[in-house]
Amino acid sequence: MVRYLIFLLMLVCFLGGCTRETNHFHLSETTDSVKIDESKIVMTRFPGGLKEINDSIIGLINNNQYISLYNIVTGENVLNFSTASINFDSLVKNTFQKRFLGKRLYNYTPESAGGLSGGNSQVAGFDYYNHSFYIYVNILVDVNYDNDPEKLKKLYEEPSLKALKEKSGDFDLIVGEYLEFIFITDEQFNLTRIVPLFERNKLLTDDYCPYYLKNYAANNTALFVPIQKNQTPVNLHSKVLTGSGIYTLAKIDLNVDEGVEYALESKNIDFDGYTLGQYYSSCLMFKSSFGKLYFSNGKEICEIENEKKLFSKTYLARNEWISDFYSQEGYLLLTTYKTYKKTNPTEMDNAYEIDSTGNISAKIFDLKSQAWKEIKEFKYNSSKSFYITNDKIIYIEKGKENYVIKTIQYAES
Amino acid sequence: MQRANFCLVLLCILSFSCQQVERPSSHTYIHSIIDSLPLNKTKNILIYTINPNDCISCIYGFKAMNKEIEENGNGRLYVISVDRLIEKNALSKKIKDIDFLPENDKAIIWDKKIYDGINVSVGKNLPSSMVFVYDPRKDSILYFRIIREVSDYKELRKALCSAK
Repeated sequence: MVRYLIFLLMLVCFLGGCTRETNHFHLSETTDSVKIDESKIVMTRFPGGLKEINDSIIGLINNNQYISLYNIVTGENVLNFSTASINFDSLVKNTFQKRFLGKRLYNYTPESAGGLSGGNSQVAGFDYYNHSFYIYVNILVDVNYDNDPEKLKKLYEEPSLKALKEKSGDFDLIVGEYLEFIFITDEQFNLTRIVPLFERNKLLTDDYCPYYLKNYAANNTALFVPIQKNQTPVNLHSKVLTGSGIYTLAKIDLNVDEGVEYALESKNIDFDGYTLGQYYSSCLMFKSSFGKLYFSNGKEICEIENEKKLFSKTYLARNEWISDFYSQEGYLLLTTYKTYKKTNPTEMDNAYEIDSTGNISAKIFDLKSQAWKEIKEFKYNSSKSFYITNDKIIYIEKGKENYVIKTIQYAES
Repeated sequence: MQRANFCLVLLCILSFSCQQVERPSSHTYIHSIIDSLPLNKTKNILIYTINPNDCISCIYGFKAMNKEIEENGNGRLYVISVDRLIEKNALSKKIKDIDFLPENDKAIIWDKKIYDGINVSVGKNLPSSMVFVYDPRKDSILYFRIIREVSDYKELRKALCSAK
């Protein structure tokens, strides 16, 4: 009888184990916090581009001049990348000037490149992939197009320039333009290659503009970058062009100057109703998990390769936006924020569509039941910049005298 | 192309941004800041609100303007949008375009709130470095412009010399 009961008990336990639901993820109640070491680099602006390099190291863009690596347990600044030793004059001559020899004249002046707080360029983005850093650097140069009639003609088609020409007659046109580069380094920031990001003819012909400054994802020999159909004149209130045959991403080949492929048709990721202002201010994020690369346009999340939608905007409030995400098996971890129209907007608020940001939350979404499982509101409002990894949410806060790295763990239960 | 378009728009703004703007009186926020500073209040005062991280394209404008207007002998106030001591010390060493040494009729304030307060008082709340001409006798702003949009110093100089 006893043996029979034990057997029955074992059977019940076994069956219970078989029908057990998938584990749930839970956010930790506590937040870890560590002061950032500023002995080598003083942060003179709120750092950006937060990314995890490995379990204990994060990378940040500092002062638009450095990529700085920090230990998230001690806050120690372990390594910094800068372009201080780069001769941009020579780099421009050997890249852009060489490509447009006899047609365009590029003039680089280091004093203008870094602004009042110094520097010879802007270090404005990075990605870490397969033990290499892919660092986005731009410089401001003056360009003379006098010997490039084709480009000059296009420039003069700009309505405001047309009007100026009608009013003032002929004038010398010098265009201030950003030249863009990807600096590829190893894990120790030893430079292995500099790739000039020339305009690609295919993108020009199809009237697309790549936005490396918004974000990009490195993938060995290529970069995925958000693209946008050009609109003239530029108006932040204009609607983003969407629909069949319009793409949201380009895959830029880093080995072939003209190499480019399109990815993720806009019909598969909803940009409906986006103004250009919202496009520029939203968080366009790339994230890899379980070998798949995902893209979020601030409202929805899609797997890039098969264009499959992972998360739809129907689960967000109308004024709610995704700032980061991570795809776990059966679950999505997200951080979101809400925007509100200001009560007394200034002329700039209206012109640049600047809204207030609030209700910053960390959320867990069950992909199977398509329902929210857990929501944690943050009580601060200094940044909407978060980074979600496979086991934690990382963010930066600015105190009165110090910056701190904060982490919230999450785990299966 | 889009970025080139932005540059073109900027060029046009530069070409057309020469009108002098007169704001109504009672800019009491600026008055409250200026009042306690050792600046000559019988003449118009030049105010710069400086964001050290902003000026990629305005640095030339600021340099040239600062030099050009210096000879007029007006009081000048630099408000720098920095609060933390560690940042102030680092930037004092780095920024070569502002003379931080004490001098008559010059004041330097390191304070982001005051920087924001002055810019917002003329409806500009973007982190853009700006230049103002303020008449302390009438508590009135005679001229204001984002530094990178100033293309003609004549207007600025005229505002500095004018008495409302």
